[in-house]
Amino acid sequence: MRLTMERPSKRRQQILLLSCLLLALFITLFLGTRSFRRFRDRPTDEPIREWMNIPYIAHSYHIPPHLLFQALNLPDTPPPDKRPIIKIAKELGLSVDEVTTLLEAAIAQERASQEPPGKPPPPPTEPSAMTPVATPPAN
Amino acid sequence: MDLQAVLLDAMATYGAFAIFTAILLASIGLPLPTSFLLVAAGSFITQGEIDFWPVMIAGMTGAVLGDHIGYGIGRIGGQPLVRRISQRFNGEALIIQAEKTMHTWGGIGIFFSRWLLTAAGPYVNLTSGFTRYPLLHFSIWDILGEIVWVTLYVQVGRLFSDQLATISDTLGDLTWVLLGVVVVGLIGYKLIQSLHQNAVK
Repeated sequence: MRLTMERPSKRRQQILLLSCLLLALFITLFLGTRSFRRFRDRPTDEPIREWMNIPYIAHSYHIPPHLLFQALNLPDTPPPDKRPIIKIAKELGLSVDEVTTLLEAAIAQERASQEPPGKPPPPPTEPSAMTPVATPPAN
Repeated sequence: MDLQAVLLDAMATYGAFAIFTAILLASIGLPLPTSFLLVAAGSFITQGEIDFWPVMIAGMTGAVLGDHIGYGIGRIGGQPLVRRISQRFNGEALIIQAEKTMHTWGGIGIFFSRWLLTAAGPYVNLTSGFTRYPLLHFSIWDILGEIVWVTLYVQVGRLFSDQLATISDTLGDLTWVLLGVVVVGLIGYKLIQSLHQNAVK
C-alpha cells in the first residue's frame, strides 16, 4: 500500500520538475535571444543620457569636445568639465532634453561639415577664355 | 540625479578613491550599480581620463575588503541571531542543512557570485560568515572571483569605450540570462537526481 502511494507521488514530482525545467529553459532562451538581438541591432549612435558627460559624448560620437562645450556656451579650459549633463542642465536652467537637443544639433552640424562635398564639377573640355594661361618665365 | 550619474560624477571628481568607496559599500550590501561603474572606468581609461592600475587596485581592494566586512558581520552578528530565531521557530535542522550545503558548494558559490551573479554577492558573504565557512577558503575564492570581475568589466569598458549605455543595458540583460541558466541547471540536477534514485530502486 505504501509503495503504491509513493510511486505516483514521485512520478508527479518528476513531471512537475520536468515542467519547471522546460519553462525555465524557454524563458532563458527567450531572454538570451532578445539580449543577443538587442546587442546585434544596437544603434551606431547611443542616445544621449543624463549621466553622460561632455568628454564622453564627444568620444562616443567621435567629434572634438570643444564643439559641444561651445554649443552650450561653456568654457573649454583645462581641466575639462566632466560633470554629467543633468548637472550642467541644472546650472544652465535648462531641462536635460533641451541640453540634449543643443548637443545633437552641434553633432549634426559637425558631421555635415565633415561629409565630403558633392560631385566635383566636370573638367572643362576646351580651355575657356577665363582660364589663366601660364606664361613662360621671362629670361 | 540617478545613481549612475552620481557615481560617474564622483569618479570624474575623486578618481580611483570613488571607485574604491562605491565598490566597498556595494560589497557590504548597498545597491549601487558598480558593474556599470567598472565598465565606465574602462571607458575613462581609453579616453585617458584615469589610469589603468589605480582603477584595478581600487576595484579589487574595495571589493575584497567589503566582502570580508560582510563575512565578518555574518560571522559575528549573524550566527547568534539566526540561532535564537531558529530555536524559537524550530529551524535548527534548516540551519544545519545550510551549513552543510555551504561547506560542500561554498567555494564555487563564492567564486561565481563575485563576477557572474554579482547581485547574490552580499548575501553569499553573510551566509559564509554565519555558517562559519573557513575564512582562508573564503578569502581565496573571494580574491580569485574579484580579480575576474574587475578585470573582465574594465576590459569590456575599454573594448566598447564609446558604447557605455548599450553595454550597460546588455550586461543587465545578461544577468537575467545567467540567472535563468543557473535555475535550469539546478532543476536539471534535481530531476536527474530523482530519476537516478528511481533507477537504483
